[in-house]
Amino acid sequence: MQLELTGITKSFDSKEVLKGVDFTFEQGKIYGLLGRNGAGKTTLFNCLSGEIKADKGEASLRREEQKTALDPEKIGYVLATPVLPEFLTGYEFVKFFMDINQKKIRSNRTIDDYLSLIQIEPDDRHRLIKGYSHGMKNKMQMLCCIIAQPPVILLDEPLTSLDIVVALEIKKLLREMKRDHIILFSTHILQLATDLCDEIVLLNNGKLEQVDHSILGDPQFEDKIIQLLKDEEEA
Amino acid sequence: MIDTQKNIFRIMTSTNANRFVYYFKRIPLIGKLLPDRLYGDLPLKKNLAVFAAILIFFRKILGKAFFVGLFIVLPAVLMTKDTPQLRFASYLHIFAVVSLFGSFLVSQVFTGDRDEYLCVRLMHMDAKDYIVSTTLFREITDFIYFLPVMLFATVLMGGTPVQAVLLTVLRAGLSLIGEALFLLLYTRAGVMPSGKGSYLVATGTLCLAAAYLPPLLHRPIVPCGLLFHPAFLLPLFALAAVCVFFLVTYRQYHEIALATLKSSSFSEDPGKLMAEAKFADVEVREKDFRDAELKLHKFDSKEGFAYLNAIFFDRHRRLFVRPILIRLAIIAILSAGAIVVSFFSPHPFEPIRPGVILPAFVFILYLVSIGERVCKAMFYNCDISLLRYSFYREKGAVLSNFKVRLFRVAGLNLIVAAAICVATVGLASFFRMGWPVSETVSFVLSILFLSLFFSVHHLFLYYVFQPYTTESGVKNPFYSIISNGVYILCFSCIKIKSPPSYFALIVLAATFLYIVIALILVYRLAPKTFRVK
Repeated sequence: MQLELTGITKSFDSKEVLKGVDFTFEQGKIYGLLGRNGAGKTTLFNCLSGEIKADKGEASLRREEQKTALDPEKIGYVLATPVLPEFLTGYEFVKFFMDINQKKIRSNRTIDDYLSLIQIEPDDRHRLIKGYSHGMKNKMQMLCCIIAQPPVILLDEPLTSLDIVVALEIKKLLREMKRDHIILFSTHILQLATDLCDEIVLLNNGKLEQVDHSILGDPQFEDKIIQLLKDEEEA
Repeated sequence: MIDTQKNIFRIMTSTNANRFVYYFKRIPLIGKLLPDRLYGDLPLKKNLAVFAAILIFFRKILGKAFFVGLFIVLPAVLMTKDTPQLRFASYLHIFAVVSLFGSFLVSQVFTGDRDEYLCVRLMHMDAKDYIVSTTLFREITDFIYFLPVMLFATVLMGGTPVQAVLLTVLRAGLSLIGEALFLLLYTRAGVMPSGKGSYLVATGTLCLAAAYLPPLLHRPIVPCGLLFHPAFLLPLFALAAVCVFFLVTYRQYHEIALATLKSSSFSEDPGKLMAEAKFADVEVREKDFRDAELKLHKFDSKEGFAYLNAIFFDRHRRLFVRPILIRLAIIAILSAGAIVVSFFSPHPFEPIRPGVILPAFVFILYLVSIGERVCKAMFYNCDISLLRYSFYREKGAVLSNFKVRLFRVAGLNLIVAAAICVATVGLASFFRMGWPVSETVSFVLSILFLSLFFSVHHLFLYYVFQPYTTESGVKNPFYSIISNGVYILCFSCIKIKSPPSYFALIVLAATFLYIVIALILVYRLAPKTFRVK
């Protein structure tokens, strides 16, 4: 399975944020999308997930030789600031989400199994989500991806504001899931990208560009990436 | 200090011009004409700032005129008909009392606003310079804004221009004395009552009572002769001058700035704060639910959207069930009241036909139908987050959710409508008005249809025009037009004194037609329009 982006452009007023994004992402890999603040990472994710409409271009999924348009339901989107219905308890939200996505669920895990999987303690399961911490809400969002198993998972800076324990839990979850999915992980923290991701993709000047594998193991990796980001800016 | 005021001016000029550009750009159609680079065009922005300042000047004068007109001139005129002397005395009384209490209500010194946060906290301007110069500047400009308004109002009420000027000076003097007293209170007792809710309510209530009760009883107690007497004015002005000296030489402004400018209240973006304030009335409260209740699996038999909505309506019963109970209680009390009255006077009501009172019931049903608040709660507590998930935006999901909600809201509204029917028909037969069966049936049907109509109306507007935004609510213009249109239509129904015999038929046909069209539009449009904007 591959995710193909061709010529995606998006402007706000006169500012062109995405200038023709072309890229092919492969199943089984976690892609670290690196870019400076304001480079357009969130804009790209919003275009893919259907939250905003791209001006031009298309995104499609290719399975063997069959190509289908990437519609929003094939995407799991974990937002930097999690949004969940706060009047439900964690347990109720999972039940509701499972009801709705019944057709997509292949596992026969129960609600409690799922909540154990992301280590939400039994005491917390029946509390209103309104009172959950940022990390717990983030894990709930990840859980949506685990339950519905969408082919493409977009993670917008998900680990940036989490404590180290939760961050580690989520990293483990992602590694376990990656075999069946295409995972795009946006961040501006270099170390996180090298640590977790199989490929590094730079979003710079409105375009995507894969970083050569040989750089990844290089001791001077950091300097080289920064050099790349700077060079392209000057170009 | 002059330098400080100049610096503040510079910052404010920039902010005002930027704000002007920002809001202008949000005007539909013409807003697009201004390009983004305008924010960097300094000479042009200077001109814009002058323009914005002129606008602000007139807006402030208008604001003062509104205040004086609505709270001082109008009550004085309404409470004292035909007696010019009493009217002028009442005017003076209200103005003096409102000015007096007003100066003790809020203090400029203790109001740490966003501008002050910006200048003092972020830009490290000297707190004393800032507070003293803004306070004095505020007093001077207020005087300038009030002067033309007071001249006009006082002469209109029968006073002289000199009296108008004296009144304006009096107001400024009281205001300065108020500031000084706030400072004294802070230094001696360490309290800052300015802007505190309970203090505002207490002082406000006292102010209203002292300002309006005496004129209402035709006994204004502020003696006209004393108010303009030099023996009163001169010491007062001297006191005000002492207060200015005190304000200027006071030393603890740094402490005050620390206490009033808390980062936590300014670091949030104002739009978000506003949104939070806006939905505070529909917010779900965590403390409302005990743990045991949340553990009950009482809705587990339901699935999907039915499950979601069952919990939603259960957790928000404060918003839905309580208003319904209050309405039922009011209907019961009014009906019981009518019956009690009949014990004392045998024929309290003229016999009327159901068709004649029906127009009034159009508006009554508009008032008693819940809907708008329900939609707001749905948006801020549920849809705003779930609409971020693609499954929730799918056509099937939007429509099935709409259906469940419509049944819920309509059910709640129908309870009230049914109670109204029972009460009116019951009272009509109690008072032996002899309503013919056919007219009674069409009356009841009309009431039930109207109730259904309002249930559909609010949900239809919500789903098709989705007027709420995540930030400060910019409402959809079509939403306002239709919403206000229906209100005006319902309100004007009261004015119909002798409705035609086929009025019930019109109501039935119109509501039926609206419901059908609304449902079709929801079916066609909602899957596309029901989004977070």
